[in-house]
Amino acid sequence: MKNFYTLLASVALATAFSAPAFAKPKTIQIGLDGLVCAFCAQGVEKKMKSQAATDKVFVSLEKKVAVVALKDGQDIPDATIKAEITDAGYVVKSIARSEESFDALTKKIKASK
Amino acid sequence: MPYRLISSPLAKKCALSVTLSLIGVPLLASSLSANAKPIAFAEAVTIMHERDATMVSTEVYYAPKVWWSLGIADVKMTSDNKQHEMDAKSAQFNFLLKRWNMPNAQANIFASAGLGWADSVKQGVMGVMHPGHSVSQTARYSESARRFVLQGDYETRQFYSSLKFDVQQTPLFYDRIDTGQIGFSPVAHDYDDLAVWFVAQVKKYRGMTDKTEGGAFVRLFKKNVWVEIGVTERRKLQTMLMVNY
Repeated sequence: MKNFYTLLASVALATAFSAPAFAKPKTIQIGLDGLVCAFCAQGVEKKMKSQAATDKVFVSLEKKVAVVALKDGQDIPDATIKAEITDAGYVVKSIARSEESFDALTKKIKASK
Repeated sequence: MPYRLISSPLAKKCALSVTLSLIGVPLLASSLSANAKPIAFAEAVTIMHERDATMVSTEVYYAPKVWWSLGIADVKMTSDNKQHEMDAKSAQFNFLLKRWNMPNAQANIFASAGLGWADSVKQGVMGVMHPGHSVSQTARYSESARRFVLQGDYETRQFYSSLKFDVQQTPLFYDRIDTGQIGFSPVAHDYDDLAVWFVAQVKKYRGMTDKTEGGAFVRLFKKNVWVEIGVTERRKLQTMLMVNY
């Protein structure tokens, strides 16, 4: 019985401290088709900034991605992202959430070949 | 009468010939030589101001959606021989009929329709009284004006091409300008960069003016500002400023 309680306590502790499994994402990286000019980037930037959960937005024409920094504890559903980007006139190719900070992620994207 | 003559009584007798001679005056000719897009992005206001040897235009559009925009255009025209002046104001709808989003490119087809009015002044020689003495007069008129534009483009971050068919009509005339452009940017720019483009242009005029004219200009493009400056084949300056917000 003692072993059982020990095991239970261990599981409880492990669950309590397994923050990554339940952590809210800090950023969303959106892969896009059709980004060729500053107006395109502006359109995407404006749409994503209009979301209540958005803190700031970075758009790279070269990497064909938009990065959205989320406000603490908030998120934007995939369906909303797709709808907003489609409404802006572009095509979503991928959506990836990350716990990386906005600055770290954009730095990594800029540095990538 | 769609016009009123303001000089000699002889002019009245020549009214018909004046009217006929006005046919083909290029209302809004040379409009938007830069082939700028009438819709930048959704929920955007676009302001365009363009100037060349024969035209000054100002256009303002609002695009609630990326698929359409609505706005007003004011275009002041002067013909090559300086005898015709026209000031056309119109409301214009612009539609993005089709867009192709590709991994490294984008292509679009736009259509526009405008409706408004045009005030014109024409100086003309009405006849020769006797050798060395001609009679000239000025005709002014105001009439409805329509405009139809079909425009397509294909662009990457370093290559740009576009084709535009611009038809202007009033009850008195028909005018059409076809514009083709091809451009390149030596550097694949990013959003924060200053994009520098070199663009070659050919225009085919039909109507009062039947000519084909080439031109070249530099396009500078950063964030929400687009500036162009260049010269036509006849060494006439052409400039354009476009701002979106």
